[in-house]
Amino acid sequence: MTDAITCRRLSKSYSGVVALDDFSLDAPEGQVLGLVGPSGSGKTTALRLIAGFERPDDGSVEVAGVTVVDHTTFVPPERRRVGMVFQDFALFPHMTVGDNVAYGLPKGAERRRRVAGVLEMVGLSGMEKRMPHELSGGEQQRVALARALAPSPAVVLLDEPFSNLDAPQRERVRREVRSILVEAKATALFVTHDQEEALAVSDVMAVMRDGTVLQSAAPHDLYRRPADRWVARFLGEGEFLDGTVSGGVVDTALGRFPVDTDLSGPVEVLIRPEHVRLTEDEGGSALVVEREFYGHDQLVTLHIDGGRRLLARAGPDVIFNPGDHARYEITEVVVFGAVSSP
Amino acid sequence: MTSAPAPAPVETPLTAPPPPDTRSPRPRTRAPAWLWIPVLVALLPTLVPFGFLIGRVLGESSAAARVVLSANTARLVWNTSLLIVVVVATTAVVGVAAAWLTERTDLPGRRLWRVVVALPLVIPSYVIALALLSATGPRGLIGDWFGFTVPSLIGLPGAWVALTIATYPFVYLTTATALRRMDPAHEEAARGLGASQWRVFRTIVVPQLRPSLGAGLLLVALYTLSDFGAVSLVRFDSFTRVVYAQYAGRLDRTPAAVLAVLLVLLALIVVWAERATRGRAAYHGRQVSRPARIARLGTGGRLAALSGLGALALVSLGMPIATLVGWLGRGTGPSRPFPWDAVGGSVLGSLLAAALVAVLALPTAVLVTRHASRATAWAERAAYTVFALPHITVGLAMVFFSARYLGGWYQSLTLLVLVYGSIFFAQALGSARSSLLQVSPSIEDASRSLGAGPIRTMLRVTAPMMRRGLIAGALLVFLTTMKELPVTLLLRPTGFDTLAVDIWSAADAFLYSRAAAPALLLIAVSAIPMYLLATRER
Repeated sequence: MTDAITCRRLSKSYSGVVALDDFSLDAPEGQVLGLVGPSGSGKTTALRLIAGFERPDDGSVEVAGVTVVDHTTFVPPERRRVGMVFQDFALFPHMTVGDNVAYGLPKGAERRRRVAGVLEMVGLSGMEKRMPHELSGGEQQRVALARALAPSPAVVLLDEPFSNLDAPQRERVRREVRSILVEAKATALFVTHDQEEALAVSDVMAVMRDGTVLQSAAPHDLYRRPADRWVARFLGEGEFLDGTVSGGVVDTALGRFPVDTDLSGPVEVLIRPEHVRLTEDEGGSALVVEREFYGHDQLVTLHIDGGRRLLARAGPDVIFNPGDHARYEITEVVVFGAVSSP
Repeated sequence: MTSAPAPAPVETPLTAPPPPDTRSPRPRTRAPAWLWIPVLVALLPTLVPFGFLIGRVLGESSAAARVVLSANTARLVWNTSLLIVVVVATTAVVGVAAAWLTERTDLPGRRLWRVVVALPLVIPSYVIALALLSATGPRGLIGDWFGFTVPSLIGLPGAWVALTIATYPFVYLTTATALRRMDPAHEEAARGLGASQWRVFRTIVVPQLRPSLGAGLLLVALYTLSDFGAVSLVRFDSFTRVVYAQYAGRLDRTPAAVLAVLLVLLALIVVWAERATRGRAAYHGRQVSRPARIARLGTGGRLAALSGLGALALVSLGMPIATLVGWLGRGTGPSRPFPWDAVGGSVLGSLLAAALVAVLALPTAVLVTRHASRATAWAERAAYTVFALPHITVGLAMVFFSARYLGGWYQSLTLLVLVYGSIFFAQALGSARSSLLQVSPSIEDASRSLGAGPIRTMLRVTAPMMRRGLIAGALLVFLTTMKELPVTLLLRPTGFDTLAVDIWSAADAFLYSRAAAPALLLIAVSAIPMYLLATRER
């Protein structure tokens, strides 16, 4: 598999504030890469350097095998073959939908057909004459995507593409955008601060912090095998405890669990709430101290062993109320080296 | 740098450490060098000759020192300062009173009064002076119509009244805006602590008005200092009139150059004085949701207020217009056909200036907002400084400079329009800049990533979205160029006439009936862009 984007050791700072520091990333062709990190981690800066809106202080970027920036080269954004979908969609308000989509296409007979084709792909056939302000947020989103895809760029960048949408439509638009990208066989790099969104949409995801990529892998692998405590915490809730690995088994204060790891010796152990099975039992050893009900499930905070905290996710059918006792069983744990945690 | 949009809320996992928010303000990229060309084209036609003028004065330091230390110069400084003091004092009282009445009382017809009180803005100072002169005195229209003679408003009284009428709207507008934006909670708190209405006004309202009142009065003082039209017609020896007389009437032009530079020094002193008297308190504007309390005037109060504002409107609007209309029918001077060539000159010069400024303001607005840096901040400051320079100084500097270096360009329409564009550039830049600030920069980035270069992006995306701001700025420049007098007098090509020059020359020669028609036309034409600007704002 070739890479549509290759970033090598990019760094960038703004008047002394470091935004990117030794940032390297590969976006495999034809896949959706999610770049996720808390705000201030440098995600948007990375995107702007790839698009060519800014110059890095150091490092290089290749798009489809062509170097677009390094310490001797700088290709301006209009010649990079990089499409971009902006957080605020950035549709040209004085142009129709059709003119917006046609903006990046060469003049000629092909143009109109391509506009119609791309609009059909995003499910907006026949909307050419509408003005952007006449569309709903989700439709504007799809026009922005169509406009970026129309010139067949080597890669499409999406900057927080779903954050401008209301919660109810966000998940639907997320699915639509993903299927459009897959149908267009486009390589996409999208940036988000929302780890759930990244887990749901990405083929490959990269977690960023303080201007650098901490870990990148398929969402499933990332969730199951976080490289360190910070990545683990960023991707989901859980409780940490110490343990010792020997012979494929980790020994902790809460018992011994089989693990699939190359590590041995002292490790950190993470227990995800979904790996704690909870059963109603008046004589159980866990005391329910807090419960948040989400509809599809509930997150229950337990006190066990005289004060140790444990989080458990339970189905919606049996309600656990503070003060109840319950029985718990840990089905699986995640381990990682105890060195790099803050 | 301006502040970044608020970062999107982060859904923090229950047990995750709160992420440190180190998001920096939206970074600015460095501007390409060619983007600096328009702002240089706009500013250099004023700055280079002005630098040359200063160099010339410094180069002849002994002659310059003689001029500076002469008794005549001392008299000029005294005259000009006196005029500034009386005009500032009068406009402060008139402007604040009018603002309070129209914004904070139950005065009948407040909406109408707000327009009427601001309207004298469309009448140039020399037209007001012309009207005053031709209405008063033994041969004045007032004597004709009412049978009694008002003393002629020559000299200081004439300059005082004319400039008060021409400038009190500045104080009125800034003060009225401040009154509207003031948080009523402060006044309510003072009333709750037992203060009377008058004490609240004195101790709460006036101190909070201080910044905007100061800004308004600074405009008044600078306008008075650099006004040429009114003081020359009423023959009051303030700086501008004497600079022009020295230039026009003497072979040795050093005194004119020295006085023109001194005039700028006086302007600097005025600006400094306003800064020095600013208080230390900071007044933070707040989103005001409630309207302020409206004071009840009572029957007597209403009558007094109505007659006060009525008198103001009569003197500042009724008198000039009635006088000009009155002169229309009379033919004291030699009769002359309507000056269509002057109309043509005014419209041509103003159109060219407006178009030039709009063309220069578009890329400059992009420069100062999208590539903001210390250098662009200085460029903006330079534009406002040029705007504040007395026009007589700018004109004179260009006369000296072009006579020395530009040869054939001296007294050409090109040079005149370049100077117009330069002195009024700040007006268009201001409105272009604020309209560009409302456009998300990602729209321009989108155009770039779709394959459009920076120039195509500016023309096809940025310009259409800034249309309103550019048009408003161009209208404003058109309006002010129409009224411009000293630069036109000094730099116009031979045979090129404008309404302003026509009115001023006729009035200067006491040919009032000849000045009346072009003056009325100038008021009417000035009122059109004013009306458009006012209706656009809603």
